[in-house]
Order: sequence, then C-alpha cells, then structure tokens
Amino acid sequence: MRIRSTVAGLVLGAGVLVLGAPIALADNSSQPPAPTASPASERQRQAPAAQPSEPSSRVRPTVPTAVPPAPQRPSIVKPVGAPETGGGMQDSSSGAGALVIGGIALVVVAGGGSVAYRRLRKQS
Amino acid sequence: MRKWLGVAVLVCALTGCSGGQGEEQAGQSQPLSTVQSDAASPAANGTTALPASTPTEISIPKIGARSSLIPLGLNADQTIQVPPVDQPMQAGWYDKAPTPGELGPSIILGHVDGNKKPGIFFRLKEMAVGDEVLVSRQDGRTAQFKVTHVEQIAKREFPTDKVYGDTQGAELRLITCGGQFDQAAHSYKDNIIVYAALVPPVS
Repeated sequence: MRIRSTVAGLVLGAGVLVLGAPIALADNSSQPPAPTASPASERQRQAPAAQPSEPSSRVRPTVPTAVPPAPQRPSIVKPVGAPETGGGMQDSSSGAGALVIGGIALVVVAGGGSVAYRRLRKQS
Repeated sequence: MRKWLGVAVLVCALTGCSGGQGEEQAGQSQPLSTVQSDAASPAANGTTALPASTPTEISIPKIGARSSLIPLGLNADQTIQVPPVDQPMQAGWYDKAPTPGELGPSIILGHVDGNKKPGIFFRLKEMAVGDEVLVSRQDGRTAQFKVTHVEQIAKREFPTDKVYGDTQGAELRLITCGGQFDQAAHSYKDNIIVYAALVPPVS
C-alpha cells in the first residue's frame, strides 16, 4: 500500500513539475510587460514584436496619400502674347481725325483757290 | 492519496490562472491598433479640385457681371481668341486649359469695352483680394473662387508663365484690357488680370 502511494506520489510530483514548468515560464515572460505597463513603453516594446504585421498596416495609410495625385493634371497650350480684350469706347475717333484733316485740307485748298482767283482778277 | 489529489487540483487551478494572463496580453495589443488608426488619420490635406466639366456661366457679384461662356481657342498666330468685340457683354473660356474647378489654371476672358459700350469686365479692375467669383458648370456644380491677387500689367510684359503656368491647386484667371487706349494701335496698353483660387467644396 505504501509502495503504491509512493509511486502515485512520484507520478503526481512529476505531473506537477511538468505542469508547473510552463507556469513558471509564463510567469517569467509575462512579468516584464507587467511592470512596464505605462502606455508609452508598452507601445515601444510591442512595436518590434508586431513588426511583421505592422509594415503592412503602416503602408496602408501611405496608399491613400499616394492616390490623390491620380487626378491627372490637364495640359494647357500657352498662347502667345497678350489678349486683346478691348475695342475702345472712342471707336469713331479715327473717323473724326480723318474729318478734321479733310476739313483743314479743304480750307487750305479753298483759301489757295480764292487767292489765285483774286490774283487772276487783278491781272485781268 | 487524498492529499496528493488535493495538491494536483491546486496545481491545475494555478495552471488555469496562467491562461488568464494570456488573454491580458492579447488585450495589450489593442493600443497598437489605436496607433495604427492614428497613423491612418492624417487628413487628406492635398489639393482639392473638381473633375473636368465645361463651364456654362460666370457670375461676379461684386461688379454685377454675369454672362454665359463661349469656348475660345487659338488664332492662327497662336494668340488667344477673344469673344466677338461687337458683343462686349459676352465672356468666354479658353478651352485649351483646365476647365474651372479642375486642377491648374483656367482662363476666362471678357472685353472691357467694345462697340462703344462697356464690356462684361468693364469693372474688373475694382476686384480685390477675397472677392467671390462663381462659375457654373455643365455637371451642375458651381465652382466658387476667391480672388487672391489683382494686377495691371503692360501688354508688352504680359506674364505668360504666371498666367498659364502650372499651379498647385485649381485656380482661375480673369483677363481683360486696361490702362490707356492707344488710338493708333486700336488697343489698350495694359491688361487687368485677376487671380483666384478654388474654394474647396463643402460636400
């Protein structure tokens, strides 16, 4: 009876050791994050561990920023010179100038004609 | 025997507690997701522009100008076409440039006068920074622009690159004649140029 109980005790002891080992390991691995539970340090420490998945998630935001250039810039043909966008309010000014010149010429011709006529009359 | 069984149960209970710690670790990965969302949150502060659409009408409340828009191209000598001078109240848009609201500089031309009457842009020189210019488009949208700069410049020094050159956003140029009228050349000596930028649509 004692032998059986001894064997059973050994088996249980071995079981405890086997089961206890992961517990001890788990405690060791979980302990470091626990004291550094402050959010800032947490992110810094966990970021490297999550690196395999992070690059894809960090790349995603850059994809939308790269998309906006998609609206293609329309081309433009640059014209030469300045636009002529005024006809002038005094459009008839050139006609008035011609009339003035014509009038002066008429007066000169008429004056010369009258002078010539008087001279011819005196001579006769 | 019962003692050993008690010890075993105690050990199993302790093992079960370690499982809870594992869940906490999974929960600790949540801040990462918030960091990711923070990284994804940068606002799209890029240039805003509308898709191409033929402009149909221009309205400038400050100077009471309102006109339909006709397309203008290039003359044989590569100068820009202008609306018929005998229709001075008619404005036109340069169709070899972006349409108003589209990325780049769109160009709208109007006469200061013609046919001995004031033109659609007779009062364009009164425009100032911040004034509003509205351009209706065929797609039903209205492109709203705010004046950023107004200048009067000699035609000999017309700033071609500044007017027609690439811009970072959707912009608009309103061009007419100004300054003294050269009787001999039948032309004004200067140009009035209004530079405006698109106001981002609210929707």
